[in-house]
Amino acid sequence: MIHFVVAFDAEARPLIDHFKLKRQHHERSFPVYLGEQHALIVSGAGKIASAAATAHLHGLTGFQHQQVWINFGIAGHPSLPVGETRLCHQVIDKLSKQVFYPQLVIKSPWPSESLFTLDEPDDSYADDALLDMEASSFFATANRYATAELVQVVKVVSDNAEAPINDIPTKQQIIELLAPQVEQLKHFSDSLQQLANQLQPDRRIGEAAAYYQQKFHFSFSQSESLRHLLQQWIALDAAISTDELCRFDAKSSRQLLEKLQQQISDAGQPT
Amino acid sequence: MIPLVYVEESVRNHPRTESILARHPRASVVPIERYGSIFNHSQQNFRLQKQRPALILANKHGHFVQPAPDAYGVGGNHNWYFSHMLNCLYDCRYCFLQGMYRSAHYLVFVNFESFLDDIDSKIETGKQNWFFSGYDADSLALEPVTGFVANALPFFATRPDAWLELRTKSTQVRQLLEHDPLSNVVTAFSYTPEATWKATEHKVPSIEKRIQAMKKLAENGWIVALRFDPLIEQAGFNDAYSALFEQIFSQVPESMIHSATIGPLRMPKQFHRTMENLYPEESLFVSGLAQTNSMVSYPAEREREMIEWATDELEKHLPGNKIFPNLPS
Ligand code: SF4
Repeated sequence: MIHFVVAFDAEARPLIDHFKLKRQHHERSFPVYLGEQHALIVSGAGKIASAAATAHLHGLTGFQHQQVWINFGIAGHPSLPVGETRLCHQVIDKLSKQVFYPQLVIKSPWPSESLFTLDEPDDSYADDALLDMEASSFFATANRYATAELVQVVKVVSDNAEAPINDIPTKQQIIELLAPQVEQLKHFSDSLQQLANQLQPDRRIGEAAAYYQQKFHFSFSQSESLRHLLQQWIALDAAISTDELCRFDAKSSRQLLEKLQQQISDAGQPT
Repeated sequence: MIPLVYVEESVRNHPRTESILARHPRASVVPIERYGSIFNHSQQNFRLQKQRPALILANKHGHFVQPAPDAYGVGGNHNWYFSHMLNCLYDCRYCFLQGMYRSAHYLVFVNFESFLDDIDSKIETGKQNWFFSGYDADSLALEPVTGFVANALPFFATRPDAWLELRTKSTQVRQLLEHDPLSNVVTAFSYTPEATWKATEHKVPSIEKRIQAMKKLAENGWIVALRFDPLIEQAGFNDAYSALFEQIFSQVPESMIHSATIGPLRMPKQFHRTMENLYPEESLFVSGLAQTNSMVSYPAEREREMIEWATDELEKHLPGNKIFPNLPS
């Protein structure tokens, strides 16, 4: 699942249209939109709102770990032209001085840049970096659910020293700024999803574990052992089917684990 | 290509930083306070980072040279190791670095002089003092980026009691070939048989290419060495290692080979678990391994059998006093 966290409705619109996301009208805390592979939440402005929205979306999509998280939206910059897009390699919380490092392990269509997250809008443009009001808390929160390679911040410059923030862009202007980036954002997020897929457990483990757990009672540590042994069996026999993994009969969970252990020892001998 | 370079602010103006950055003009440069905030961060993934590592340039403070683990000895009086770099260009699935570090980024400590000063302070005159590099990285693979060897050779040229081991799976021997050979610098090449290389040593140059690099060094007067450490279990173990030994010794003259070490595949239980979690589909972490106390290895009897057999087999090619089997007690 690819999760988008945006601050404003206008930032959401190009994503909603492109990914054909459906508004979840029963959701009252935040506007939430879902598709088959994508989820989007509109946090509102500021760090607290962004952290809360990120956590809320994590719950809504099933508390899954190692999924893709992207904070997408507009940002200021002292000199970059309006409309330029940057991936963030460093996110600095201006107030707490905490620094976060999204890890950039796939090729990005955009150059990378540092970003300061501010508590108040600032039109001095004193720092040579992107400026926003959400990314630090978004990253700090999403990085609890996913490794730093899967949590990314993508910003499109909406204002700079020559076109400062007090000329607040209209909703339509924001949509026009962000919409041209959505196609590239799709490719980028798909690549991130491929990374995330590498971290997902083999489907057969869950299927076989569920089968055995229906038959026997497993303590927590026995369940962990069961999954671990199934994983080891798959490692030794990549083509094995779920049916084959479920072929053992036993009198108890303990005996089953012993049988699995024996199977792995036998299969692990070089031939 | 290295896409991103994190630079500790304290070394931003270090001449070595400048020259490394000059060689990576297209990389984004990110200033950082301390390398640990990236390298030791807990919420990152070694496997994913390994697909596109960044470079971290940092300053090391103290503990430059450490006593080497017992297994490292090759007949000298004192054994030390040092790590001017952490992590590796290659991706051997059995590599303990992936169990040890949270990050796969290449971390280079640019204050080489501090390492060399500390080496200097450890040398006991009249003794054979060994300094092993390549414990936490491949010694030569990233030489074009770091330039460490080019820097160290003049130092060792004037300290005959200090012996340097460069341990590698690379073919990056140009820096050495451009220098007059030094009798106290040994380039040790690590090998496993063809099937293991193919299955587990990702991005490592072929055995034949490495033998050619080794041969070239030997022809130019450089001493070389062999490391069969770890020995990896496989079907047809004896035949595979016999063929490997034959392939090497038919091309590299024994007289230029300083030593051969043989060691077992062993890792702390925690490292093994981390590595297995990173690559759950990898049969190497399951195949034939057993856990005893806090270590994971091949069962003791099989381990002994592998090492003893390999020692006997090597004796067909090398005098016994050049062979250093590491049989754990
Ligand atoms: S060459 Fe050595 S240091 Fe590099 S990945 Fe392989 S085992 Fe590890």
